[in-house]
Amino acid sequence: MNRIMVAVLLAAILALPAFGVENRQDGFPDGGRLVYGEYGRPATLDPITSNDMVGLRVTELLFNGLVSFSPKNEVVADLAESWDISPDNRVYTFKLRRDIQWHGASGGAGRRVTADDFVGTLDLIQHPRTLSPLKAPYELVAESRRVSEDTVSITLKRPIVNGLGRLSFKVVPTFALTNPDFFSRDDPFSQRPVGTGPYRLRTVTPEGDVVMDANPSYHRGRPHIDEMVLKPFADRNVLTQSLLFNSTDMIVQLNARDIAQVEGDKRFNLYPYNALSYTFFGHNLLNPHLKKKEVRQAIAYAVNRQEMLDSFYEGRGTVISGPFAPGSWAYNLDVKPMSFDPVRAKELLARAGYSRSGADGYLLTEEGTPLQFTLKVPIEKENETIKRVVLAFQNYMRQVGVKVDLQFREWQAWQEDVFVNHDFDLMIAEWAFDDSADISTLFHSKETGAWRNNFIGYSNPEVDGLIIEGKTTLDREKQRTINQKLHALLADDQPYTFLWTVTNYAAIHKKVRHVDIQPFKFFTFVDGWYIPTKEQGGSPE
Amino acid sequence: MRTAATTLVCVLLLAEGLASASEPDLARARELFRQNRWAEAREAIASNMGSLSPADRDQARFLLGLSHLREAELYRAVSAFSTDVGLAYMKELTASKERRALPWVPLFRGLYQLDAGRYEDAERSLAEAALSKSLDAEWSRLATTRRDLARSLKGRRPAAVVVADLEGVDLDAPDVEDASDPKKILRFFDPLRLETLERRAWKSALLELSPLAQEGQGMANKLARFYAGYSLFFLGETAEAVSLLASFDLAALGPDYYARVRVITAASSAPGDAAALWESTRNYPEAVLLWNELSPAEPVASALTERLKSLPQSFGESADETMVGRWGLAALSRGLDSKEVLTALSRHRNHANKNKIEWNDPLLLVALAAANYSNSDYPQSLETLFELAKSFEGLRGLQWNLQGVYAARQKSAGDARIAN
Repeated sequence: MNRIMVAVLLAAILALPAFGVENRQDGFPDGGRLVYGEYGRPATLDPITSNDMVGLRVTELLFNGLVSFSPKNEVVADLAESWDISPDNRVYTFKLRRDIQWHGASGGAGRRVTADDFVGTLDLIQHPRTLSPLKAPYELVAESRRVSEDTVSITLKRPIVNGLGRLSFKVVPTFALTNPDFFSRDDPFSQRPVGTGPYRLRTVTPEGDVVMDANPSYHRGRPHIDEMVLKPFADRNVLTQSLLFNSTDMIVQLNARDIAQVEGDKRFNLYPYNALSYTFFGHNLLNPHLKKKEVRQAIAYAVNRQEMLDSFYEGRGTVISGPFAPGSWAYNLDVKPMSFDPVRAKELLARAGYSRSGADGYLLTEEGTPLQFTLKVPIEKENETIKRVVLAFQNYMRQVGVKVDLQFREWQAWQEDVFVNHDFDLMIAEWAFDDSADISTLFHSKETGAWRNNFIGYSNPEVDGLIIEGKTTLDREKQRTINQKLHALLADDQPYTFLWTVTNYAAIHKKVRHVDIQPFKFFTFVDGWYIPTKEQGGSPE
Repeated sequence: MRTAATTLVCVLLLAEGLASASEPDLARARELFRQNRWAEAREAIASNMGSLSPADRDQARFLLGLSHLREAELYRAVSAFSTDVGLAYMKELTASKERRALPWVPLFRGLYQLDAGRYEDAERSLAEAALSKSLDAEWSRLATTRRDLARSLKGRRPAAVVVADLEGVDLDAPDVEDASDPKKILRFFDPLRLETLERRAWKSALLELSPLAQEGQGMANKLARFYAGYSLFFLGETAEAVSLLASFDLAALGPDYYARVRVITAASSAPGDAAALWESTRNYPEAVLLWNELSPAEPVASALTERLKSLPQSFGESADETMVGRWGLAALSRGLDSKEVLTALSRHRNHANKNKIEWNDPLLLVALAAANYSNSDYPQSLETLFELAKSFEGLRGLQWNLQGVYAARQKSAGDARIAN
């Protein structure tokens, strides 16, 4: 047994009190129900095709991976009990726990999780017909192999930074899929998933509520809270009202405008958390006008981001200059946000060939038509804040002679427009990242297919080169330099108009105790949350 | 909005004790001070000092002094946090086989060790740096000078002997940028910069407060005298501080000030008196925090750690946030549970405006950033510093080093998700 193996086993043994017991010894009571509100419903409940934050959070409740992360973000054992890493850092051999069973539904009851499931999941992700945002990150896997029923070996194409953390993908039971070879959102599994997580799906109601029960045989010990319900809302105002009027116990991401009101309500605790996220306008580079860098830069100069942040988010955020959040290690502090400068915006537009105006004041293209873009705005039913933002944007653009049409689209339809059909000129959304600050899937020219993250069609050989270099180096300082160069390049090139990062606040009823939030996946430590026995009766229906 | 109660009380006391502030610039300066925008408060006064009535001039001068003093306390906090992070970053660089041969690493490790009062370690690191053939003459000389300094400091901080030349210096620019590998830029910042900023602020505070301490009237005189003595104490001029405070009417400002004066006085007295003095001052939070500055020997050291543990129980909702922040940094420096420290500090944060200095005392924000860092919540720590750096210069070295620690320690999978 080599030194790494000994160290890992020791780490796993030391972690036993927290992660290896069947029954929790923390003395907190079981029971109760927690209803949490989300803005929008998850398109899928599976971890393979899910690409948004709502989906990420719910799959964290339902699934597990080989390894997970501790509250201090150390890699810890999850479904694997130990692992061995080859001296060349390419081959990861995981010894699996023998006590993990699939949730008792869809034929999963009593079936043990084995090496075949991990091999099957990786094959599924890598299959050409599987449309998954995980495809690019797992291209690094050269081979996954069953060594025995309880041992799986994963060989990487080359050693990489955070190899272990990058193998934290969620495992799915391929036997429960319609087609065990590839996977799409059409597979019934995406709505009736079977996992190994702290909660198991009971039902999805006609209203879209996702009702989950505590997994009694969860390997870290049964979660304290009996029932977890994801309640989707189409209106952000109603979402907050649902909390204030006891229809929900928790809002994962509180509307910025409602923070003061909820903070003043003694029934709730506010939990600020930093999800390394930012809001942006994306420019479709298939559009011949947006293909011109001057036009993209002009948009950035035309918009008074600080004014929008102050007016619509009550200043609760920070204007950013590039593709990373200010809390990231990759943020280039030397790059300042583009200032609000409509005069400069007009100059840039003129330089790009748009100096003639029509009778209505809008600039004209070579063809004599107004310079006009369609902005696709994701909205369920109502989101007052985002509406104000895009209306202000429309107005700023009018000031410099650019016409913007607003198209409000329901979230799933918006995703189809943006990720599949690329049917937009401009779009607005928010990216959230884990600690690795990996923007490769957003800006590498190869990441442009359906459900890939480079939906704007960005292609810049220098950026591609830096991304590849950053992915292949094992030197973290070099990676930092590369990311800071990428920040400067993209800030100048403006494939997005980088807007701001706003503070995330979860609002949680005070009856929920021992709350520990993982800033990105949110529910990683949910199994330790509890509701005191006396307060378990007051949950919303 | 919660404010730094003690200092605000001082200003309010002055407002009541002196002529009313009829001049709009002074009123504006007081409002800016209340919003923790100290440099702007000073600017508001500076251009109109000559036109103020004598009474308002005293008030303006006191506000100027206090604004420098608050800034000095802030830089002291930033400097302490920065030293911890700097040492951690140097450790990460040393651990990396790609960088451990860099001559800059032992040099800057030594500088941070010197700043942390780890004189023997500093001497070793700086001797190693001085011997390096890769350092040019200027940096080799600096290594030798600081190595000699490590031998002679004996409890003092480097800036008491040598200060950084900040004249015309872009404080966001590093002292050294190593681009020997053009694909990997390493930056190094001399910790003496922050100490110098702190020292400069104490001196400015003293400059503004001294005339009031000598010639001011009533409460203005007493407060100015106390804070001038306080500034001298932190400048390392203990004898002068004691001399100034010895003639102080101890009862005039209340028991908390009295306790602090006694602790400052103790800094120059015989060690045998410490235990008794500790017992008589341990109930005054500000005095307890001053004890922490003295790094007392046993048995006071253990009693101090215990007292720091229980101190938050006495913090009410309107506790002075500067004091709470200083408590947080003291608690972290004494190895108290960082999660508990973070929880206690967070109770005093304005959550709705969590990083804004207008809503949170800047020193409290530094303490929160340090507690987040200690809990490996690097994004939150960096985000807070990002906001602070908009108002206070000289933080870039801390930000750079913290980013470096975070880059080295992050282990995530590389996930990015869209949201509406």
